[in-house]
Amino acid sequence: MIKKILIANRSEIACRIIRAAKEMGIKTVAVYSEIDKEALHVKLADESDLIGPAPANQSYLNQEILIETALKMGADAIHPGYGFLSENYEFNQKVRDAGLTYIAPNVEAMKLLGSKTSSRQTMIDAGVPVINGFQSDTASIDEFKSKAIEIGFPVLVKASAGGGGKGMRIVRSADEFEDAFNASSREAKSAFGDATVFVEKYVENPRHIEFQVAGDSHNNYIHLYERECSIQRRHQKVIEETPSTALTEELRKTMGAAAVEAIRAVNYDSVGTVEFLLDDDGKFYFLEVNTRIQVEHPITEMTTGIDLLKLQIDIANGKEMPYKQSDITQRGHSIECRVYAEDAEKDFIPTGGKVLYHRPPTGLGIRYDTGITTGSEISPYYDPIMSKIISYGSTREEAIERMKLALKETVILGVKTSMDFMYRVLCNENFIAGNTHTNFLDKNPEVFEDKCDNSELAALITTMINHKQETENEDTPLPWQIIGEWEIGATK
Amino acid sequence: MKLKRNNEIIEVDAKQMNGNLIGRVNDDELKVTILSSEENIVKLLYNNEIKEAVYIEDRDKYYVQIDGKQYIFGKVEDEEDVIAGVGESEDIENIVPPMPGTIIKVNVAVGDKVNEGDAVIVVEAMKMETNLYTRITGKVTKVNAKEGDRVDSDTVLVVIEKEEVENKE
Repeated sequence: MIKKILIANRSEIACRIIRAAKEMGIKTVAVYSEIDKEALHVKLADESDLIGPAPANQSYLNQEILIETALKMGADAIHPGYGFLSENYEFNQKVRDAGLTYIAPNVEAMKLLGSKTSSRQTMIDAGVPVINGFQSDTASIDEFKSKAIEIGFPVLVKASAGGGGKGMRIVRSADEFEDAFNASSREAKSAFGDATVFVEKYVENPRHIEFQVAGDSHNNYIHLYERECSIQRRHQKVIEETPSTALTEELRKTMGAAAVEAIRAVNYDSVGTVEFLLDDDGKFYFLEVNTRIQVEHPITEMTTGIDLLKLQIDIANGKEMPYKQSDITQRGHSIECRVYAEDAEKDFIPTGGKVLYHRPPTGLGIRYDTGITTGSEISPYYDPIMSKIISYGSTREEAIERMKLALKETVILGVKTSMDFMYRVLCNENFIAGNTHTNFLDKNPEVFEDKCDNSELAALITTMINHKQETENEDTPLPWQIIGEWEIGATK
Repeated sequence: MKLKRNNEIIEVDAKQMNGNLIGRVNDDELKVTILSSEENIVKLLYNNEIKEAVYIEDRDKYYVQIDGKQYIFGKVEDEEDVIAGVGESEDIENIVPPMPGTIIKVNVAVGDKVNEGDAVIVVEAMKMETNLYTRITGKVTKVNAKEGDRVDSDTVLVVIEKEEVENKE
């Protein structure tokens, strides 16, 4: 049985894992890079250890250091979180070789699902529908190009090694192919350390529907229903919800059964996610299996009532699945908004900076998973996610209204965030109607327009702050409490 | 007083009378009733709506969040600071990365002609490649970066000057 877990990750997911472990009576070890010394996950964990300089490849991606640290600190298990090494099967093997428990599926399943070619073939054999595509480790760019022409444009060029949209490009004609292919390959190399990319048919106007799944080492496999993650920017998810407005009970059953077959085919023994594209005709296609906990896992926890982190740790301990498929029910509606340090009005460019003031949202039906606190530095070295707001309601409308309140209540001063943008998405009539496709932002550009600009009001308030600074030494606590009159003029 | 936001100068006059704050921002009149206030937070009535503003000051900047949106203002000491701080005019554009990163590709060289909307440089930050575009049509007069360079967010990578500039003065 696991007694002490080293968390090979940072930010909000490290905090989430630490909390689950504490609840189970398991000790936790946080690791941190030189610039993360003051980070929230370090403060939350029972123990912590410095693992290297800020660049991820010298710290959070340094396999040897992570294993050495686990052994040194007396941990008997490693949890990889998401991103970083979470889907690296070689690390999975090395952790096990060192005599530690790795909180992830077995190496064979991870390796097979991590390769687009082998997972594709496995899914075809298991009767799960797939999209036409081409992958090769040895093919030249010209071969890829002629395959792309054969598949028919538009095609998608994607990194073989990981998800998250990194390294992904849509190519609409043969002329664009070479540039897109090279850029995709470079991004794949820098994000995952592996430049291999593949090409597949691009499904126009799809929805992104994924199924949360779980398997154990006793051949039990279940799904915990879907999540719709169609609101994406740069192919990365921004807002997720469950249930999806697009699934009928029948389609939900069919897709859920396909997701279970997908993991049964590889003897999957952890929690994971089977991703599908769903087109307008109700046809769905297997995309990939994410062999890790997902960023958006909380919305499934809210609607099924099951703690996925605890389930994942129990399974790693060799326990038998405590649930049968018929035990799992969906109740109510849940939405997640990812709060990134980025500028929605400038093509979602990462921002960064120091969090000068942080106020989390509260109230009925609100959950807040955060990696930041007042004083946190958002560095350019890592993914710009700061926190996640999760709302729950008995209906979709209630979940939306609660999320809108939470987005206004959450304050993160000092770092530009996408919260006002997400608020406008939640107010958009197509979103409210459930017309959500992965090209939602392209089709609804008005969500980028700020119709209620309060910059003048903000400027006026700034003059009050300024006045406050000037009068602070005169024993006047706040300028607007002064009886009488004061005046600030541009000419003074 | 004068504030700077998105390279624009904003002139603000304000006076308080009996709990009401009356202001002029550029040419617009604003009337605000202060309902309550505490450290960093002020509740107010504006255009018949109750709003909450959360604010903080840090070094040379003010941060104010209203309805989930953050407004950042720079302090303006005098006229010279305005020009130095902005660092560009309609005729000259300085291409600066949004945050520290690595140069992936430089698409232009000194003397090149560029058109509004051209991607002049590709920067990678937070594992994402970002194209930096020019907002003006003109000629590249300076290139301060090469592939592989690590750059800070205040580094001017490329300078572009409008073609008509040559005819002036």
